[in-house]
Amino acid sequence: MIEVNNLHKSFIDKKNKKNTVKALDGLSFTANDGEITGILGPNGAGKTTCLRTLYGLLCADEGFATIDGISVTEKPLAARAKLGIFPDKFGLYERLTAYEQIDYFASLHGMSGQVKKQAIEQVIQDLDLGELAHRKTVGFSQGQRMKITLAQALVHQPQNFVLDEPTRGLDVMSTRILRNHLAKFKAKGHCILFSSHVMQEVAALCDRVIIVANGKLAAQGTPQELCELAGESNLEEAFVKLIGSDEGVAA
Amino acid sequence: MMSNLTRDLIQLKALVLKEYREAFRDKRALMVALMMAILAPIGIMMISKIMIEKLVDEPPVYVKFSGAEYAPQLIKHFADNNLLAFVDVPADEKSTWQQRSITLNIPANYAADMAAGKPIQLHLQADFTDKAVQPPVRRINNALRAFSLSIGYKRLLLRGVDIRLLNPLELVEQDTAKPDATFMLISMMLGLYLMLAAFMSGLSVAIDSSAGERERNVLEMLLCQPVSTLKIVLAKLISASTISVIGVLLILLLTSVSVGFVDLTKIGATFSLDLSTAAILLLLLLPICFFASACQLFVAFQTKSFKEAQSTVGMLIGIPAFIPFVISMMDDRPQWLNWLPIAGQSMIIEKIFKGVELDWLAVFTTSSVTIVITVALILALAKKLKSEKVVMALS
Amino acid sequence: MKVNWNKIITLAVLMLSTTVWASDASLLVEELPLEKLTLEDCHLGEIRSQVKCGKLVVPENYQQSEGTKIAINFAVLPAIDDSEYKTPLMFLAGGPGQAAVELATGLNRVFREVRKTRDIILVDQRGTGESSPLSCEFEAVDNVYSALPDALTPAEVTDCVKQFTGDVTQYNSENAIRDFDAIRAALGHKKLNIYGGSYGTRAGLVFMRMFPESLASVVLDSVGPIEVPIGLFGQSGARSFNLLLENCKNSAPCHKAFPNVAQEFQIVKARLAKEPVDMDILHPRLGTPTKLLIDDTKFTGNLRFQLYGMEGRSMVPLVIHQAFLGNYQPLIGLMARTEGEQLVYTGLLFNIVCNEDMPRVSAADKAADADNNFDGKDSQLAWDMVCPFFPQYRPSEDFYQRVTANIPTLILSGNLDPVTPPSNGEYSAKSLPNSHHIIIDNASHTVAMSTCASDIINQFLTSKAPGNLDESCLQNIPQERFMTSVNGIQ
Repeated sequence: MIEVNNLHKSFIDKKNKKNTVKALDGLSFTANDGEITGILGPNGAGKTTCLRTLYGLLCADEGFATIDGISVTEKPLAARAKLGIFPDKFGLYERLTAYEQIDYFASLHGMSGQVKKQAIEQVIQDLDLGELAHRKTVGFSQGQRMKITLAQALVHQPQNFVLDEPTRGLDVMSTRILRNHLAKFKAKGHCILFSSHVMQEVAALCDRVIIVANGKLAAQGTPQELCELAGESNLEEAFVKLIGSDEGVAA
Repeated sequence: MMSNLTRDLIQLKALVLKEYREAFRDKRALMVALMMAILAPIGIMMISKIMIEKLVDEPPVYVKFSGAEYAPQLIKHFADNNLLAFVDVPADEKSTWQQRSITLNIPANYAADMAAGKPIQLHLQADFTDKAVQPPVRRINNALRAFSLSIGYKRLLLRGVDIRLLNPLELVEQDTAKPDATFMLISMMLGLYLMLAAFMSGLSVAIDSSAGERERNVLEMLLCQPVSTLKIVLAKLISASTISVIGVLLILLLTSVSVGFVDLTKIGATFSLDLSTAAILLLLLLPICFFASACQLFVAFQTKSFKEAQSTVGMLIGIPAFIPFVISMMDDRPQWLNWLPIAGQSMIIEKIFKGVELDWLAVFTTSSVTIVITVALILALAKKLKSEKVVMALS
Repeated sequence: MKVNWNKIITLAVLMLSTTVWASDASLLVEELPLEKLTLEDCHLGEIRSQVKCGKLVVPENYQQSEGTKIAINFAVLPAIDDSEYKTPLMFLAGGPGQAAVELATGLNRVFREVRKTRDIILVDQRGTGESSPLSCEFEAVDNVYSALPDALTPAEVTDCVKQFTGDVTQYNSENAIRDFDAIRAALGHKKLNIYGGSYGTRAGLVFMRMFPESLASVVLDSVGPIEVPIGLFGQSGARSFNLLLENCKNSAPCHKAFPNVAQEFQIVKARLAKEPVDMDILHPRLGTPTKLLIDDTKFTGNLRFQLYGMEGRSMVPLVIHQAFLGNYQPLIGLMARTEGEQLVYTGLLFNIVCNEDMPRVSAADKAADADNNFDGKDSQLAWDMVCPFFPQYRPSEDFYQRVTANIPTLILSGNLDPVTPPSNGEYSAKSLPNSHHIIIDNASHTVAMSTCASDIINQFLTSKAPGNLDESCLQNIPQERFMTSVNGIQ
């Protein structure tokens, strides 16, 4: 379970105080186990800042975030151990083979020996990576890269899984694989937090949607509830309405 | 439940293993390290060869003599000094000497003037601005002067003069350098080169594993993992400095082998890299390798891009080349220089090659200072990697 | 009473013809060092780099090891490249009575190839240099121009001998070799290579007999074999001189300039024997008026001295011809070359020759040697004058045995040599089983000092195969050349 409570974060320009950006302004939400929670928000709404705070890379000015009840600011390493991360810009170690890369992340999570080996085999099988496993990752297609990244994020079977715009740049087939996998994961009772711009995807996949604007929670609920709340029939229209206005988007 | 220590070890091992894999599969980075190592002995050999040639070897010089028949003894004296007649030039050098066209005119009245005790003027024609002509001309000059003097001495001797009168003063140079310190240049070069190699060899790996990883978007992923930044930095340090150490080792090895092919004794020099000297050099350079990698990582992590990292760290290379050079120029060296990294080591290396007994205290002090600074850099870097500034620079 | 040995010294010495002399031959009253072996950095002669100077304390009499001690002075010219140990080369000086350490400058040049990888060890033989030198008080400035080789009075000789400190009879060849081997051991060398030049070959042969296990290889340059007593140089001098006359005759310019030089020599000699030249000249060095006295013995003595080296030989026909014309300036110039310089430690020279060689010479031997057309019995004069008054000792019985040690030995001779002709080298070549004799046609005494023989020696020290050396460079040594006018050569 991921809980975000009253997060505040400002980026201060030391030279020019006027340029200070308020990225998070009291954001709170909860992503429950056994659910896929989607974060929607326009560019600059504070999604990335929020996720980075969750990873423990940034430190909130106010408020807190916990992963399975562990504070990410107080025990970042312990909190991260419970987390699988699929970053927005994922790169691969191009001089390593897919297997080595997955092995690397497994080891970073403290896995070793037979346990590690089995976990890697499992994730390779799950993602159908058998053919790619022992090739160096240089020259992999975007879909293949996505799968490797997914494998390295999931090899340690994290309870919580955060994806930052995972389907960007993926073709239909890859997107489907990802979706299937997330669904399986959800079925096992994991907590999935998912940021995206693609409305259909969010609508189709997410149990709950959190709409963020100007660093604040604009609205939350199931896609259905949000449509009803906005009085619109599709999520996109509801989203535009809920974040306020076109100006709101610009801000 | 797994103990923290085993977890730490597993993580560190994975980190180091991964850095090694990347480093050793990075052909370009390895090439840099290897090139340094291979160029060293080649460079040292070439420079020594040139030095020996300049200082000792007297390659044949072909002179166009006109009127050689008037002065057979002079021509013989020239031949003894490897100054030969142009007619004898081998085919492959013919065009060279044809172009240099050094001409010596011996007048027809040579013999008569010699017997009459008159001064004889010989005319030497060449393009004196041509650099290649200068050494031969100098040698012709010296040979002629020696020949002329020997005749002059005999003329006076045969007139009953004590020829020792012609040398009222004689300056005898007494070199107080240790007998085996005469090969300073070569060892200075090697010392400098080793220092440079310690800095250069690991450079590519250091930049690639820091700025390079950030550019390839893998650093953020790593920072999000449950690993302390200290371990991350340590792994990168170990990997980069390993390459440095390998570079230094290779240089020591190849140099000790290759110097055997150059006869340095011709210039009154000797150079041998025995096992104990090599071991001491390695011991001295080991902290430098770590220090260098730490510096490079520290700088590279703070740059905004891979390109910037390359150029900024590139400037760091100047330090190991510059410091020993400045030190060798300094006459009064302040005490604290002995303790500084690079400066301290380069002075000790200089002493090792001079054959001065090793000051173990100095080795210990400078190594300790170097290690302390390295540790400080690593801790600072680990802390920096946790800072928001670095995170913000990621995207 | 002062004795002027120099007036007879040009007569006959087995010494090396290096022309460089150390400038600081200080003869200090030595204090014995407390330690047995001392070795420290020093500068020697004109050698630019630092070398090592040392002293080793040895018993004066090896039969009484607890008795009087003397310090043997030596120097090590360290190998330039000492990265791998190679057996060093010890140099045994000539004379007898030359001090090896004083020759360092010249030897450093001659043996530069050897020194690249080997230490060169120079030892002042006991009685020379700074090893308890046997020398008398000399007149401050000797006037070689006005002095004639007069007979020395017994009083002069005994008075000089009295000035020697220590037991002179212990200053013999065998003890000198014991010193050399002691220095070898003290420096920590298992074996040595030795180069003996001139009298040094005699020392080398004694070394081979006494300590064969200490020697890795031996070079004997211009041999004074046990079989031939040192001191009879009449026949060898005449042979050398006659070769010179022959070479002049065969050289077109020389023959043209001096067609009658052989006769002229005899005429001048006879003229001087009848009436010595007595004229006033300006001292060549001081520029002050002095007397010049030349008799036949002094004339041939100075010519004989020129026969040792090619440079000196080149001037001989001219000097004879000018003397024939009544011009003695060329001769004065030659005398000036070594004027005032101590060439050998005369005390040791006579001590060894008078005791180790002269006793073996019969009257018949002397008569046969004196039967020559160059300087007759002049070369025996010194021994006849001095030996009767020198303290006597006899070497051991073994001393006169042929040396047959089976050590790789390279024997060198110069064909034009006035004191150790190639026939000398043949004696050693026959008796030594592992030896090879190289005779160099156009060279005189101690060939390594002036020819590429020094490179052959370097080869030999490495290969230790005396019969299998590349001797081709010797082909390039030119024929004798002669000065044909006081203004120079063509």
